[in-house]
Amino acid sequence: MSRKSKLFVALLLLPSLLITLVFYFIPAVMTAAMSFTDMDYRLSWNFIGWDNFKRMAQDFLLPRIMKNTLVYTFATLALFNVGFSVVLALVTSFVPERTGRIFQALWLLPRFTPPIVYGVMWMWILDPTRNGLLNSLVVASGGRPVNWIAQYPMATIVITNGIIGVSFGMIIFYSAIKSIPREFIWAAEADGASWLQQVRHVTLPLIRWPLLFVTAYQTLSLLTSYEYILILTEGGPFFATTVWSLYAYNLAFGGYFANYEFGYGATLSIVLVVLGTIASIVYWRVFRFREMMSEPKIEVM
Amino acid sequence: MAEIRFKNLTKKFGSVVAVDNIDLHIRDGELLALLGPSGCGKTTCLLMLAGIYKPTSGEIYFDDVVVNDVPPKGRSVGLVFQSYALYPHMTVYENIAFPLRIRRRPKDEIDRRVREVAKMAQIDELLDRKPSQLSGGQQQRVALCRALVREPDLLLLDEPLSNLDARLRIETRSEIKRLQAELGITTVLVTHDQIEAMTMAERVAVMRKGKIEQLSTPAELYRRPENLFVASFIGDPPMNLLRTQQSVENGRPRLNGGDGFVFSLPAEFEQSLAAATGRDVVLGIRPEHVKIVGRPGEHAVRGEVFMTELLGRDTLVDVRSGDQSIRALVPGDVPLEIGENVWLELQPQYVHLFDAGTEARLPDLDLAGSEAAAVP
Repeated sequence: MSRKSKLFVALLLLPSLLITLVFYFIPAVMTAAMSFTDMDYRLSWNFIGWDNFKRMAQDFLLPRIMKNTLVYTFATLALFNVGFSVVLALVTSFVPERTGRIFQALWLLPRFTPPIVYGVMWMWILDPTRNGLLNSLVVASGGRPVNWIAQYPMATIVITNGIIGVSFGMIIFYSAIKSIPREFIWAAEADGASWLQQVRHVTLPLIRWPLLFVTAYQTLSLLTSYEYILILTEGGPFFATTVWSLYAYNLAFGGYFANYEFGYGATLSIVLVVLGTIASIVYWRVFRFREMMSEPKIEVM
Repeated sequence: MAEIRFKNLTKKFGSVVAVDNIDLHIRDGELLALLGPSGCGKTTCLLMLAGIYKPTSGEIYFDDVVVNDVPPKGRSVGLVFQSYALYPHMTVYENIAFPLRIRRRPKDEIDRRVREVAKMAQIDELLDRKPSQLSGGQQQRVALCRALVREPDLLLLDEPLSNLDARLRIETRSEIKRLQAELGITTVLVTHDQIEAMTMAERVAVMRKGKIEQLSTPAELYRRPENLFVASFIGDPPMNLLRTQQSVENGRPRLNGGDGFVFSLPAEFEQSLAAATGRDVVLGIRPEHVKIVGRPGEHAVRGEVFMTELLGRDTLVDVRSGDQSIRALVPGDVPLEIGENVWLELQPQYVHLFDAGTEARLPDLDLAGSEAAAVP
């Protein structure tokens, strides 16, 4: 390739490179640097070496938070973001197309809803008084009001996150199922497979790549997401629903008593980035994502 | 084994009628072809036989049982697709074993039957491979094995040879035919390729727009097409079909094709043409029945060579005569110049006559005679 065309390619790549640099790379580097400081509300860069990491190793809350994070991430992933979305994709691809599409559009609504609205809706549903939606049903059927969030905090955040998270997988799996040549399904049918057998032996193996992709993508996404937890439980009661990213957030910005522990918060964040990276590499290797990549359709370089 | 019957069979997709009130009887052990252009309803028929589509109205009988509402797994049907539809994540062995595994047959029985059928199709060396590692012909055999492994009563083949190259197609054609005859299994072959239908099937149903245009043996289809569609569809190169007006001169029927094209028929044809009195007649003759002769004759028309194509063994000569274009298939490499004047002999015994209005075949001479003779 000539010098000139190399320059041209560089020029084309420049905008996205700049965006990545300014909004992703520099913040990551700054966070990494910040994790070696004891920065607080005064925002001074006072480097303290590995102290924050030592503190992390001794943080008595951390084992609990790590457990919360794992339970939250993998329960939401297994029950909703992958598990239930496969079920919904199968069902919506099996019913008449129009019905399926309408159902999917409805299920996508929370995605377009501001998180705070969605959160408040769940607050109303789970309200501990008899005015909450769930409790009004319980009372109507002769029961006593239940303090849902306090009694089932982990279930609450898994379900509320899962119901939104389902739609991503549902759409991707639905498209994948729809793009299976119908001869495969017909062949399985003619071979005598029941619907469930078709799903198990033909459909699921044929959407293996989307399944793995969504699993990997949603793992990372769940590891770092906390906004609905923040709105609904603020990580409580007493750290019962505090996940890693929320813990870092609370240390830096929030909680009932603002801490402004930017330094230690950054340390936790950077460790999460490293964990996420490791998880990605593991997925990349275990799921053999390279095999899924196709040759580019046009030759640029 | 089974015999199959369609009774007033209809399938609609919304307002589109894919299969239109068909009656058909497929004999036990027969290989019947459904032949027609794409969109004629042949694959829809096949999928209804498999139980994948449900008829909108009418009945399908397997022997004496109406199977309209019997799901595919309740029928004893093997299906081979044009694309083969081998499950890509399974090995050849697993593909063939699939219909048995689904039915929870004992492992040793599955193993025995898979190996048996694979041996018969000569793919027993390939059992550990994945479909993507096989050639088209091998994949085709695997698909056939998967359809045959549970010894179905009915074998359905959807364009089974279309994805094979020309040489392999000829081989596979005779192989499938031999296998079918050996197993004596009732078989329905769906194809748009007339050669495939003509060479493999005992009887062929030519379909168009959801209806069966003609059901007969391959030889009969070729010799005696019942209407213009079948006449134009069967035969390669296709039959010459010349639209003409009829008249009588000196007691002999004549067909005028415009701008000087005139063809005289023997007097006996009058009987036959009487069925279309006052209407245009289509004169059909196959290119192989048109002879190029040097001089005028009783059944010859004059024309000018427009084009010649050497096909290898034969030459296809396109001749313009008056307003008509007639193609003649002549053996060997014929030294003809473009623009050369020739005489074409259309032998009356090979002439097909159709009513241009109804598109139906006009009654045949000998047939009319024999019918008259049959009356006591």
